[in-house]
Amino acid sequence: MPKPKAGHISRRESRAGILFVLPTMLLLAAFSLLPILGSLGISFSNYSLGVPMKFNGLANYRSVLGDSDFRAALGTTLKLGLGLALPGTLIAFVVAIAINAGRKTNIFTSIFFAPVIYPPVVSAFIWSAAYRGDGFVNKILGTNIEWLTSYKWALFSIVLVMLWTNLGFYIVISLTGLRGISASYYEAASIDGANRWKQLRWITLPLIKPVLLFIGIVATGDALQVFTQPYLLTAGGPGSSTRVLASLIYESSFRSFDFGTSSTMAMVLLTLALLISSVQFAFLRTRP
Amino acid sequence: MKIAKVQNTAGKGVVGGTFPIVNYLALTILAIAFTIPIVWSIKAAFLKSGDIFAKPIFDFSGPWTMQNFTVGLKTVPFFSFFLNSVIVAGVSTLVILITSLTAGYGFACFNFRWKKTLFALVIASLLMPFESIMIPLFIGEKQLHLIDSRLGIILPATVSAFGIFMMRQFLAAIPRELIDAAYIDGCGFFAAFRKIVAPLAKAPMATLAAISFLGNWNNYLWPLIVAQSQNIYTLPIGLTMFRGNEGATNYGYIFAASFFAGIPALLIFLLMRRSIIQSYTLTGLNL
Repeated sequence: MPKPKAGHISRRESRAGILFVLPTMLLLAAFSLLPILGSLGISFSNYSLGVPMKFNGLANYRSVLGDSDFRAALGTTLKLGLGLALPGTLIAFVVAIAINAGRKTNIFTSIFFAPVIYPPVVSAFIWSAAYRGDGFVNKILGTNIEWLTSYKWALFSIVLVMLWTNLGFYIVISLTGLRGISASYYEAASIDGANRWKQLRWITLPLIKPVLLFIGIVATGDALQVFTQPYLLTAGGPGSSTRVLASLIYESSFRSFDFGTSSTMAMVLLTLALLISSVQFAFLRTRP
Repeated sequence: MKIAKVQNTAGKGVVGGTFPIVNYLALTILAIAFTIPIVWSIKAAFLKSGDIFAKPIFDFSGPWTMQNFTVGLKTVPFFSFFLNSVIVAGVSTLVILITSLTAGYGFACFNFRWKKTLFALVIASLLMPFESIMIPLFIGEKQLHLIDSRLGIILPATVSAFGIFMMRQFLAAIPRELIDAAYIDGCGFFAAFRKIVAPLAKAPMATLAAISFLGNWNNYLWPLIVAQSQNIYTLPIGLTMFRGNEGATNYGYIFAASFFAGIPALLIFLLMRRSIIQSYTLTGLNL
């Protein structure tokens, strides 16, 4: 509604707004928006250290998508994603139910969440000790498995580390979902004589299903960005069986300095990440 | 995000009502399993190398030693690593607080052209994996001779899309009358920012400070790219210097050094756990 003074104020207001936003937006442009355009540009070129840069169209994309190292890393990343998403969702849901059912259970939430904020480098050291032949994993299980150096177990071991790291985050999302279910549903159901199991089956589960799907998507997205633990625990080995996409991009850019190809791989990673987050945001919008 | 005030009974009875003890017992066992790795590594920091792998997990009888600290930490420039980490995480957190609060205020309380587009760009950068921008960041810093400097580590961490988003959400929810009252009292936009907005935002600022500090304290990939000489190594990079060849790694030394990386992170978490956990659920992003 235009009052006489409104035009004047809003011009001043608009100038002030821009002044408040501008410095930060310039930094954001410098450190994230321009770099992403840079990556896109470089991905169409043969740019590498000490070679004159030449654009080569889609050549990188063709060679990357056909490259066996890239395909292997993509496969490993997706396996890690699946290994995080399925057990992660299931365990998080069960634990969240247990936490939500009892009183004074907040301390458990904090304990499960602590690994999320623990330095990943330290966690990598702990697990590299834990997975040794005489480490505590073998001691607890009474086994003598070469966790990190055998093809059979290496990726599984990494999945376990990432589950330990991220589970607290998935539990917290589950809890938010559970606490968002209106208590009146349960009251109505118990008046109708539904026992607790039936309430879980017919109220909690249907209402929590979108949240569980959401966790699955979050976990898959997490796997895309995992770098530190696999890099320090196995350095991608044995062979390249635990080399994830992020490690491959790091190695081809900062070991081989092949910026063109690495940027192409980074663009594929970005595409996957954006796909996942667009689904994620659609979920956030429709959540009860 | 709404969180129901009445705690509902989801799952109560299934595990809680009928067998409350079973419920607590199961949670306790899982919680112990979860803490074993961290507790074990702290214990190892105070054990002789020979005892670390020989002693049973739940054996806390010692003999304890400070040797890993008194001798081990001197094998590398440990204090310099620690100081670099404090500087890098401290400075970037301080700047993030300023850039997030000002931009959050601009987006939440003003109208201007391109506002929606600019905010969409903030959200877009929130979603970008770091791996997709690190190459141009490296090339740019190389040209500006920022590689292998503390400033080079800090610069990209001076702005946080999550911080802007969080501050905007918070400031958009405070009653408009509070700020209007300041204008009526004769405050300009900047005085209102200083006298009303900044004090109001203390709580989310503290949370953002904790999250930013943790993120930069723990960060490994970017310092790994930028830090090339030992004197600017941060703690996570410096820690990897303790790794020897196969079998030669002295875990006592490693966990003594790790103690100083892990304990500050845990302390910050303990102080702010409620609000830190809540911010993770705000976006559903693993920050």
